[in-house]
Amino acid sequence: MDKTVIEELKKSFEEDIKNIKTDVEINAVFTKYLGKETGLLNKVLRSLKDLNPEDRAVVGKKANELNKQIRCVIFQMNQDLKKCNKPNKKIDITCPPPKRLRGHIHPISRVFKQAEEIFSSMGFSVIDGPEVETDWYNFDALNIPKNHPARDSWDTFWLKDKNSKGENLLLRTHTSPMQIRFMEKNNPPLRVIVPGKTFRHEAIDACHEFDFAQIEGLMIDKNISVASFKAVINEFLNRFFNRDLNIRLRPSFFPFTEPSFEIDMSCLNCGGKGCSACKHTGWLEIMGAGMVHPNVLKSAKLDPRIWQGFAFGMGADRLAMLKYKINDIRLFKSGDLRFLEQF
Amino acid sequence: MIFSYNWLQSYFKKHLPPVKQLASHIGLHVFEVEAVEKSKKDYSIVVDILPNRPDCLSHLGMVSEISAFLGINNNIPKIKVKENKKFRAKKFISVKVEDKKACPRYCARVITDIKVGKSPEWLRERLETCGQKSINNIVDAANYVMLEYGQPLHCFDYDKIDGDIVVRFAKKGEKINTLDNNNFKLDKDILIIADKEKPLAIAGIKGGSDAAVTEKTKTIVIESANFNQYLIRNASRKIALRTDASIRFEHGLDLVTTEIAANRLAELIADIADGKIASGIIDTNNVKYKPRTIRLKLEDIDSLLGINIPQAKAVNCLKALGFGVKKVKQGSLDVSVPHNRQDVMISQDLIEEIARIWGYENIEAKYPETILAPSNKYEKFIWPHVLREEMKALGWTESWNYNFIGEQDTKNWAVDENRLLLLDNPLSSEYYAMRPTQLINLCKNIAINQPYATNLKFYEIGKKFVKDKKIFNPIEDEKLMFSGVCTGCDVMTAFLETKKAMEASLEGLGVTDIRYAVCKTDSWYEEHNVACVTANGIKVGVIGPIDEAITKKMKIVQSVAGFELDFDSICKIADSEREYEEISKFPSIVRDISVIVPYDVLIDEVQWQIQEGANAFVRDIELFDIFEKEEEKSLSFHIILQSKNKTLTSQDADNVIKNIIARLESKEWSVRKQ
Repeated sequence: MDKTVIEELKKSFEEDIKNIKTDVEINAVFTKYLGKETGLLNKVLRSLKDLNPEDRAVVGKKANELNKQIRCVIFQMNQDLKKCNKPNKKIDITCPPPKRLRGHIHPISRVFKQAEEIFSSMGFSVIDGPEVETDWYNFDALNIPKNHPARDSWDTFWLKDKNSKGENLLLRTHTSPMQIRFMEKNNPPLRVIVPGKTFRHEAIDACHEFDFAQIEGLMIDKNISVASFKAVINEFLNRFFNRDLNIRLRPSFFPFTEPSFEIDMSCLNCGGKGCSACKHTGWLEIMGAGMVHPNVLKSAKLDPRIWQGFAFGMGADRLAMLKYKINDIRLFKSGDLRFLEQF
Repeated sequence: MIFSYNWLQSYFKKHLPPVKQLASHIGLHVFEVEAVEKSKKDYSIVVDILPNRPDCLSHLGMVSEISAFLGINNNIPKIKVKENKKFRAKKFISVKVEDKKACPRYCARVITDIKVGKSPEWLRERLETCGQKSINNIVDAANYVMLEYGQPLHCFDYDKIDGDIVVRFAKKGEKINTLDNNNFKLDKDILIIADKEKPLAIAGIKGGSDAAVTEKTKTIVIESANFNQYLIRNASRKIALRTDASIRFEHGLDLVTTEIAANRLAELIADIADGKIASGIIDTNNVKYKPRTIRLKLEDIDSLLGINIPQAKAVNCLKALGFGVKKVKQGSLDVSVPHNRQDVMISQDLIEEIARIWGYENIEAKYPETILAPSNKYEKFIWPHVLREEMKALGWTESWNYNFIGEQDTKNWAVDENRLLLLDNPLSSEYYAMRPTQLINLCKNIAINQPYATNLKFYEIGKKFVKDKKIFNPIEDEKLMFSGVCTGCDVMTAFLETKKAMEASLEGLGVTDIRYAVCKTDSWYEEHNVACVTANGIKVGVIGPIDEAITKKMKIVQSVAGFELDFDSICKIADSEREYEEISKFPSIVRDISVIVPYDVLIDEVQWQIQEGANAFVRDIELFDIFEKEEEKSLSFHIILQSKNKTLTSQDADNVIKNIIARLESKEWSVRKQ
């Protein structure tokens, strides 16, 4: 074999590509010369190894040049063909797609889920307990004795029924009873949150409901302090509202914590400069919290000389109202599609 | 409580910060300030004093706080009682307390030759700033000292008291007319101040009109007493009367201030209404106060707050508040509690005092160091989130409804009231019992949304409450449920749409073997058309059309179907694990058959017969057509045949179909092969 074979193939190729019109024809030519098994040029390229080194160099060079040429020409012919083709019919790209089914998840469920995820990532377990509670778990065990004026802070719904021990039953006024229930059955160190429904015998208005939701938190170990609480809660608020927020603690009173505080966070609207949303203080009140009172630990049969920790309670409705800028708490129970379909 | 800025300032030589700044400090160190309002030349500062700090229901209490957080000294003038040696108080009157637990201390002073009239302007202004009306100099003085020291006081017209004062419980049937012309019925649970004939005052709550001070009064008896806080609270609720006095007693006052306030009032009255103070104070319990001592360790402060506080700072905070501090050894203090801080009982109370005066902003946040224990999520939190995503994908809307139903709902839904958990103090008849099913409120959701959409699909994950026996059982009777309702133009459409969603959600939980059987259940479903849903052999709930009689009463226009699944059962069978099943290498063959059955034969039954009849190679049976005609229906199925081991031949397929047909025909159903 010598280079004349290549030259003949070249001539043959140039003959074949005259008058080609369609992509089928182009493909056929390509296959004829460069088809995997049967391509004429490919056969030559494969047989190069049988030549002596001098011939191989010469023939090989020519063969590769032809290879490149064929490929270029074919490529160009394909490109030209595309341009000649009739343009596709224009479609209206702004036309709306067919109506799709959209379900909705309630905003409080969303708040619960997000809080669960954030606290879970910090090792908090998620638990809940009964909505119908006893006086003992809801008040006494939490250091709120009967006839104490502190009970006035929680207007209670009582049930007509009593339980099998003859104890009065009520609807829990906060998720705090779960602190006791959990600590009774689990040894520290522990950290939990309790997302759940709570009930207060109160008149309904734009900011108050009688059936609403709370998220309780509890963390007990040997060295948990106010400083620990500040770090954990600031972390939660930053992630929940997706921005860097400042917090401040103000003194307050709850019978089940000592010290007790209210927590304010930087106003979401003005970032702390002051606006009508935060009554020009720059702060929004977000929750109550404190260090768990020794009497509460004792109620749960834990030794307060060894264990200590913090507890907090936030209104899930309030979190949702702040996050989604909802101005009326009654919307959450309204069942109104015009509200629910926004989520 | 409302504080007067000028009044507070009067106890300090140094100028207090401007009122807004002072209010801000109070908010950060004491309690929340609700409002600051201008009041003529003064300012009213409204502070929300919480139940643990009765000492702060007084200007002097607040002065102590201000001294502490501003680090400045205060000047409280010493009380100087100029007694008239000619008269002795004991000669005028004596006091008998029948129950020492009800009234631990009763102090009284007598003042003669008083001139009842208008109060001086400075007094009236301060009272007005604090939201009190001026009556006359005697009553005003008593109110003033109450706002100053936090101890409620009362003045009687001595000449109208018949005999001596007795502090006793009222007798059934006794009545009293109070100063503001109200009449109260008394009973044995209500403590009163009385003379030998009649009640003179409702102890700790309100004075009576009989012995009230008038312009004609010449001699008065000052009462400064301490009453049991729970007694006063109960009495106040019983007669539905809450006063500035009763609020303070409810919070629990100390026994030392009782005497101090009596002396202060005597001093003030002598000053503004003339009068001669009879010598000696009548006192039923002059016991010396023994201060409570609490051991406080510095390491406990550091541990609870998460800081390193210098001992001197901690000591200063406490001393500034009036606590006595004695160093026992390095890092250990004995702290004595002043008489008016009975709320401080344990070392944590002291730590709170230090923290709030020093300022919480001085505690730097520090992430806790603890064991790396992954969180546990109760199943009852994992599965609902999965269900919500499934339902959302199918176009259902999640609702959160009240846990309550109304009396009208009980009637409409024919609920057995014996099984309801009723509220003892409902807000209204619309929310008088705990919901025995979520379907009631879900149907209300449908009713109100009818103007906005036709295809309404609501679900809720929440609790229902039904008593099975007479006594409430907290485990059985409060159940977490997953329920939903769906509308449709007719019963079958609504039912199938509901079934679709319910099956899809269960599938999302890894549950596939779902069976239905008509069953007897709650009466709000259409009888004979409601089914028990079982999965993996466990009953998980019910599904069926809601009785039209009910939905019509709720003004729902379309047909409604509903389902109720209980979470305890779901948790038993839910499984997020998936197992891969090897895909068959061999192709499948599809054969269609149609079978005509009587109308009431269930599709489930027919499919089961097909499955049994085939006995091999049936990978799936798909119903693709139903044609109803009079008493019969024609069901058309794709039978998908496949083997794991070989390619089925046409002969194989034919044999299977023959067996199926034989089985169906044995039930006297006619089959049409396609």
